[in-house]
Amino acid sequence: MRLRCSQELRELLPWYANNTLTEEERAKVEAHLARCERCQQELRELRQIKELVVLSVKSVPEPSEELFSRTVERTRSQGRHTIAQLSWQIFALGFSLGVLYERGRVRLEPEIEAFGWELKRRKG
Amino acid sequence: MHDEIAWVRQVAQGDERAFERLFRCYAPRILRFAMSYLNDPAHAEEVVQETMIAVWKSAKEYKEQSQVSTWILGIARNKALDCARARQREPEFLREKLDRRASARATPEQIAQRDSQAERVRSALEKLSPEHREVMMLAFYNELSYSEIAQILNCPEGTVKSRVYYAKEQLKKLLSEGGEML
Repeated sequence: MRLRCSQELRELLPWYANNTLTEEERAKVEAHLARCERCQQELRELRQIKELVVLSVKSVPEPSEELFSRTVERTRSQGRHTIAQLSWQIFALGFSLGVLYERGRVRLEPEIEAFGWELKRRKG
Repeated sequence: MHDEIAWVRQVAQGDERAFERLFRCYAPRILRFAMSYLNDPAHAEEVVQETMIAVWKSAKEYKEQSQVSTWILGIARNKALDCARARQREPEFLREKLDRRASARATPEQIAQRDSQAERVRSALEKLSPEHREVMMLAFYNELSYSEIAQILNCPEGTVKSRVYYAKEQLKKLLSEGGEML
């Protein structure tokens, strides 16, 4: 039987062919397929294309144990590197600020400075 | 069903055992996914490594609104595209050497699969636009749903559906011309 197929239904056929439709969508497509030769032919083509697309890619080996060890090793070295770098950066920043303050190149906020003077004055 | 979100949360806290679980669960899938972009086992393994390191580093940034699978495959896609770009910049002699290294490790089954038909299908796929080729591989090789593909490509679901529809028509024409399809 030749039916008028909606664009929506025809666009669902590739996903019927790759088995990823929801139950509801699947039921809708199957109900239509039962009555539509054109979409049955379309589905046959999609399944053939799917097989050919799979064939076009070299077979995939299982990920090796070595790949796992290599990856973990890299995450560990990067983790250590990050913590070491962070500690060094905090130390360098503190040291630089200390030197600059000592040399009078960095001034504290005026309010803090005024508070310091006030404390000194009260102490006599 | 694994609680993958919990694994990612644990990875964000630096839990190596959770990372191992995530790795063992996703490495085969990422490898297959990367093969659909690169068709080279050695480079695909590099993508697995780079992806999982990025997962380790950015687990804290994972937003739980998206599925763990589409988050990880989104990262893998970027790594695979970076790798493909880098391969294009590689000198020809180096590319040949890497390909030979991959062939040397291939099993007889792998070699048998590389027959002339596979070559002709590859060449037909190469004639599609990059966007069309990508959705065809994601839908038919990686068997992802249209919503997963939309999340990975960060585009509307309708765009994914229409791209696959038109890409299939174009590929069918190319394969029929080459006598691959009835």
